Amino acid sequence: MPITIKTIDDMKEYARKIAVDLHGGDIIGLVGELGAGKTTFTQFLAEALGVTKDIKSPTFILFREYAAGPDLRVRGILKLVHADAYRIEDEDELWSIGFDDIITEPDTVTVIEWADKLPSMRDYSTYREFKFGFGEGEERVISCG
Amino acid sequence: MRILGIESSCDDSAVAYLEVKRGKVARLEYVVASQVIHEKYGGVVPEVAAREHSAKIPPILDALAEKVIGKPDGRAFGEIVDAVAATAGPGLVTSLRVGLDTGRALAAAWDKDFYAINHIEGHIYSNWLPGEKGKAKLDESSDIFPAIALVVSGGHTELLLMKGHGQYKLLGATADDAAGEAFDKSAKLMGLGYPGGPAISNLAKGGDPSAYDFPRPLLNSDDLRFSFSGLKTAVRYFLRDNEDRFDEKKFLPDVAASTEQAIVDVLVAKAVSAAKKNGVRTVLLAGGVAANPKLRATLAAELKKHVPKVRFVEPELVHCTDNAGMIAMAAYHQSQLRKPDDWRKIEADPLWELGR
Repeated sequence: MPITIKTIDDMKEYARKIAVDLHGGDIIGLVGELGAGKTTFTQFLAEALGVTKDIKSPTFILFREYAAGPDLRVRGILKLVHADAYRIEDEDELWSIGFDDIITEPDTVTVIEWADKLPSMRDYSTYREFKFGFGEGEERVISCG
Repeated sequence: MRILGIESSCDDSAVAYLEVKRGKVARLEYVVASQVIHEKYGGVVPEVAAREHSAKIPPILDALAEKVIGKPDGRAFGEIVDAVAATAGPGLVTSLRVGLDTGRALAAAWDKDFYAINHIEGHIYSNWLPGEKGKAKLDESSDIFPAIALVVSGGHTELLLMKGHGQYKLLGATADDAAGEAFDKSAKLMGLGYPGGPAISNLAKGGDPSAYDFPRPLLNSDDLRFSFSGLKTAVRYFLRDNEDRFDEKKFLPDVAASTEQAIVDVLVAKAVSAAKKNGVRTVLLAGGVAANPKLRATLAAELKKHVPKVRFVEPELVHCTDNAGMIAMAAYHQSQLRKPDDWRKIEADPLWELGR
């Protein structure tokens, strides 16, 4: 069931809802065009996971790691990895630098932007994908699955 | 002092030979191999980049030796070098490792001092490098501190306070996308090529920078943080809502000029504010986006208007993009401040933050 995001507060609320159900080891893939709201979603998700640092674009260095808030330990989450496959042409490039080790750490939640560039992600049982699209005016439409 | 510099943090493989005598540049030779391959992909492809660095660094080292000593002879080249310097971060880890390991191996084989250099610090020291002709604007005796450095590139947007050589305090950085990334991604939305900065800048020459009012996030915030991710969204909506105007001759040039103006306005406002707040003597511009003519001209004019006593220094155009001369120059200044690094203990640090 696609969800319509009308305001920035809607996005925050949506990210928070997703964050509440996350556990260590979970992987979230975000799919959508430039400006569709993937980074904004990630910033709110990180906030909900107690990350205090700015979530900067990982486009140039592929991924950045952040410490999760101390109260997330009970859910087995110590770290958030924010990855970005925008510049990936062939997914083997990521596997060859040890990406698999990073995203399969049991205490890590991973968010991958441009996840459609990594078809193998769908083979991970801990993977869920969210599609970001544009609605009327400034609305965004997010569908999960 | 004679330094071999190596830079491979992103998509350019670069080596340089720098000779400093009594604090002034006596000789600078450099060879850069740009990875044209990335234009096809619209950006840097990590594994391709690392493979390209591995393939290119040995031949460009030979070419450099030939320039400096007249023959591609590594052993003879090693005899005239006092120190080897290589970029250790920040950057793409696979790319960094190639240049760093080459530098470490040469320092070990030649038994020379080794310096691991921060890429951002390197960019700042591009201001001490001479152009193709003539002298460098700055040398060791230049009395410029305290200074503000605005470092802007595809991966970075940072304002740093320098109280002296090698002393950095991070005043502000981007909260999301880098300024160069804003250029790249906006260019992509407009259907222009990579890298986006020069593409937008060229198109903007025929456009009106005040035609459209794109957002300037955090322009009036009290702090020195930047945010550029909202700009691409604004550009996307604007293009979507004006699809029927793409054929108008002035349309895209106006969009390009207005986008460039929005990015430049924020960079300039924050740099001027940092200069004012910190009572500095100098503002240094650095990084790939420092080649943008609009940014250079606007920053010079606004500094003159608001802090007329502050000296503005911009790097030679040829040294704005990633190069190894800047790494060698940063290493020279590091060598005046501290002991060399132990090559056995150095590792690439993709997230190395300067001044934190």
